[in-house]
Amino acid sequence: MTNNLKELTWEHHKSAERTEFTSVILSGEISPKLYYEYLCAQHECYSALEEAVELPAEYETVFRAGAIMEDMDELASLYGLEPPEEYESVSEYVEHINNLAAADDNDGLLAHLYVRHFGDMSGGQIIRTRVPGAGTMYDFDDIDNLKTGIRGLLTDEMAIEAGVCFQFVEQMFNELLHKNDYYFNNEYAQSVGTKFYDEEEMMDE
Amino acid sequence: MKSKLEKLTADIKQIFDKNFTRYANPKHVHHFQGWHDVFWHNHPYVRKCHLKIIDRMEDRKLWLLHINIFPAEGYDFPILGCDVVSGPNKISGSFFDYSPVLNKAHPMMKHFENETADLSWKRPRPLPDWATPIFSKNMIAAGAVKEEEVDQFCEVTIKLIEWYVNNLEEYAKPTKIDIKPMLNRYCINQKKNDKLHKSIIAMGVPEDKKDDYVNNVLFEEIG
Repeated sequence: MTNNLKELTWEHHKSAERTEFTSVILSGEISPKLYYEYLCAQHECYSALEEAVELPAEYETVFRAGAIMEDMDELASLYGLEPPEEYESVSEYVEHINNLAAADDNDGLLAHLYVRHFGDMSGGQIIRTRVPGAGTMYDFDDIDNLKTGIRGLLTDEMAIEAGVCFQFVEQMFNELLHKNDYYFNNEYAQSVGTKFYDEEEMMDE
Repeated sequence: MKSKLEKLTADIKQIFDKNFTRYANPKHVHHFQGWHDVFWHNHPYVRKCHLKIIDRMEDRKLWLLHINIFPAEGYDFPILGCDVVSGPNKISGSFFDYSPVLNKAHPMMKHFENETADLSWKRPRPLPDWATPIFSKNMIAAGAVKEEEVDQFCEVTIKLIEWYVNNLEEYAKPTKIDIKPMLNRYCINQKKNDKLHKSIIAMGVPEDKKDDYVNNVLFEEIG
């Protein structure tokens, strides 16, 4: 089965790529704290989605919640980070996923899986080289096989719901930046003269 | 039959007039024999409420009622849709739905489900392919509606329209998600209904004016 989901969601895809958060994460210099908070937010989103979506067992290795948790634990241990307070955009997203599940709309849930998990299997492979930690969430057993198999479950009618997913992702990006003062790691931030996390100053306050 | 449907229409108009504000739709420029269109809005929740009647019972044995209420951008609640196509002695098609926009498990749809769960129709109408992606699974779709079923349809219609209008403030959920694609899909799919186009042409409306009316008044897509 073929579909044109990529073309039908292209504008949303490009819009997400043009966000400030994407430029920060692709800079290779994102602060461990901001990336950790991103992982925490993602973990909530992925857990809700993967709990709700019905997928043939052979494709369940695509699920990421466990690997995201591993990455969170690694960063928390390395940098002494604490989970952030709840993000409004994440709560609204989880509610939306639960509503799709309540309406037995598995196609709607698959549209979200397409945006998130195909993104991790595609652009995520570049992101993994530019973020702190091991990037376990970007480790997939057999990307080609997973993509081919899951693509067979997708249809063009999922484009509108995929667009909804992209919008929630952008809202989450904006909230992450809005709630964090320091986007970059200290060494990079000092070298380019932007704000950085000054541990002594923070202790004085 | 016609008197019952005219009473239903008058009651619905009264509900809309009580809660919404009438406006002159500048895109509604063509006027055809027996056609009667009224438009309302309700800030901030309702972008457009449209009630249309075609009364050609005398010459073409056809009476038609169409109602749509579309949410305004920034709010998520179901689209209300109601259509009745009637001849002198029976309703050949009666349809009513709260159709999902963003939340497919919206509490208003749950109310619709509860209110219609015990209703049955002698001739349920199967939905065509264009309809299933936009309507709810609990939609009322009945054909060959006669006698006591007409009363049942009128009762549930007025009840569900009144409840919808009176509960908008409570259930119109603000959302930052752009709902235009969902509203446009509803209109795009409705326009795939061959019967819609054929029935207007059959009333002697020229093709270009039919297209103008369907695209800019009846099922206007928003940019």
